[in-house]
Amino acid sequence: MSAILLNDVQIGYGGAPVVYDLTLDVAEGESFALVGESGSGKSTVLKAIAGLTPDWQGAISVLGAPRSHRPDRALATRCQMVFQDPYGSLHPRKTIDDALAEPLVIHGIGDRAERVVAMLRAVGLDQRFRFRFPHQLSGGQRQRVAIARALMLEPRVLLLDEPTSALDVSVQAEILNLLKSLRREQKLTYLLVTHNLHVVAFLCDRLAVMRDGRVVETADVETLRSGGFQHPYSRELHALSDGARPEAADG
Amino acid sequence: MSAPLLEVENLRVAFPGRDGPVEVVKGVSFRLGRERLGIVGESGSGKSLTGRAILRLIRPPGRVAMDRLRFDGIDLPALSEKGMRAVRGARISMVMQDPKFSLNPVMTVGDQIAEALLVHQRGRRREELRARVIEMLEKVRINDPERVAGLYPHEVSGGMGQRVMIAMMLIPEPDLLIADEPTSALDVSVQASVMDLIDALIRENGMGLILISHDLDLIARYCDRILVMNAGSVVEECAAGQLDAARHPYTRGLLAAVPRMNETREVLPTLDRTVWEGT
Repeated sequence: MSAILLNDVQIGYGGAPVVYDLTLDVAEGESFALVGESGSGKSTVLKAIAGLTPDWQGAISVLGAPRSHRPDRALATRCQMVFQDPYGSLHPRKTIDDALAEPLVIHGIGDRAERVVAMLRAVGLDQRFRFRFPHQLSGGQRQRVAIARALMLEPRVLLLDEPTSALDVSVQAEILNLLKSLRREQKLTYLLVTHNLHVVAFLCDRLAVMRDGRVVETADVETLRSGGFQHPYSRELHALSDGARPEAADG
Repeated sequence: MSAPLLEVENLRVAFPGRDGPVEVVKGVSFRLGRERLGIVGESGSGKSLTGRAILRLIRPPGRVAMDRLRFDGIDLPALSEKGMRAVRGARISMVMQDPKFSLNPVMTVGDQIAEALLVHQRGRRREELRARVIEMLEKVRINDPERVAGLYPHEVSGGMGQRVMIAMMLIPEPDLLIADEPTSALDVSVQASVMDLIDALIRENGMGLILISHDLDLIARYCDRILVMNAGSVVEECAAGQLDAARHPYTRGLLAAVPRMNETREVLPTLDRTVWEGT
């Protein structure tokens, strides 16, 4: 079964379309990346799946269940999103405990304390952080909390919107390792949006390159590693990312 | 090295904590000529505070102490706040990370650039001012500068916003530019062009540059010398070309933690942060 299926989807904001004719099939257990620059529409795709932009046409289904244009409680238990900026995505006046327990409250799930404690452990956060506020945590710790929050309802699909681009390299490495091990342990499906091809090389199986609201090329990660893209734009993106490496630049 | 433009000796920055002051910059010393110095480190390493301390931008309750902080022969700590304002912006300026938060949302791009000039050099005629702004926008390679000067920050893209910031910082013709993560908020394709632009302008005007970033590749590409900071101290200093031969375990750890394009490692090596930092 496909974890995420998009068929001929068009997404817009206030009538202006930003994503056109998008067809995407992400298999269950797969880690799939949408790459492209700002404005290419990659984050909009995630938002449409998560229900944050109701203005779309076409068909979206998650784990076989078609998505409606309205808030979908059942979907929330199976599909969750992690946002880019851990500074902006956590409520500043709520403790970590509150933030993690809130999805449980909304969905009427018990054993909250136990679940919060277990989840903190799963994402590698010490228990002493449980009653702290977001501002008392570092960026990497906050992103762990954001991932923990997304996992509280035990979803099977995670939508990751630039999950490490606000973080330091060594923290990025930790979060990438965490995402990789969580995926392995919990058999998660990832749809990752990023502009960082190196992250894709580490974390994903397949990728789609987007530009101006359209997918220009879909490739597997081997193509990315070898740089064997077909489309000139994908090649350009690959060259720019690789050119940023000093060993490649200086020979 | 030419006569130092900036001399920093034993710079310390502390903030009050529950158990007394916490030192976040612990005695940083360096000298800078008209060259490009990179300060690389992670969040909390004190790299940004070092940059801000040079401009005396650290406000109470933060406390700054140093044995020496001289810029072009001027003893910065001895200056009055007014005297400091004459240096800040005019002679040393700073490009911040995110144009979205650093530009005034209710002022046009052109007015903001003009303001940067007016604050430091009064009594210019309007036409002259406008001509300088347009010229500066051209220098930062903005097409159609006449039109862009009339736009508000929300109407320009991130890359263009950062060019506007650079224009604003360079229009008073400073001697030293401190660029704190100037491209972190930008797309890869734009990053390179913004850095190339900063680089070209620095060379053209014979300025000094302090580039502060967490991005090792970026620093290695655009700087002559690199200081690696961790937990408030400089742990390693090396020429940019020799970064691969870095010795300090922290620097080596950082280099290893970057995923590569042909990544096949199952787990990325991470730093054992308990060695370096508390909570």
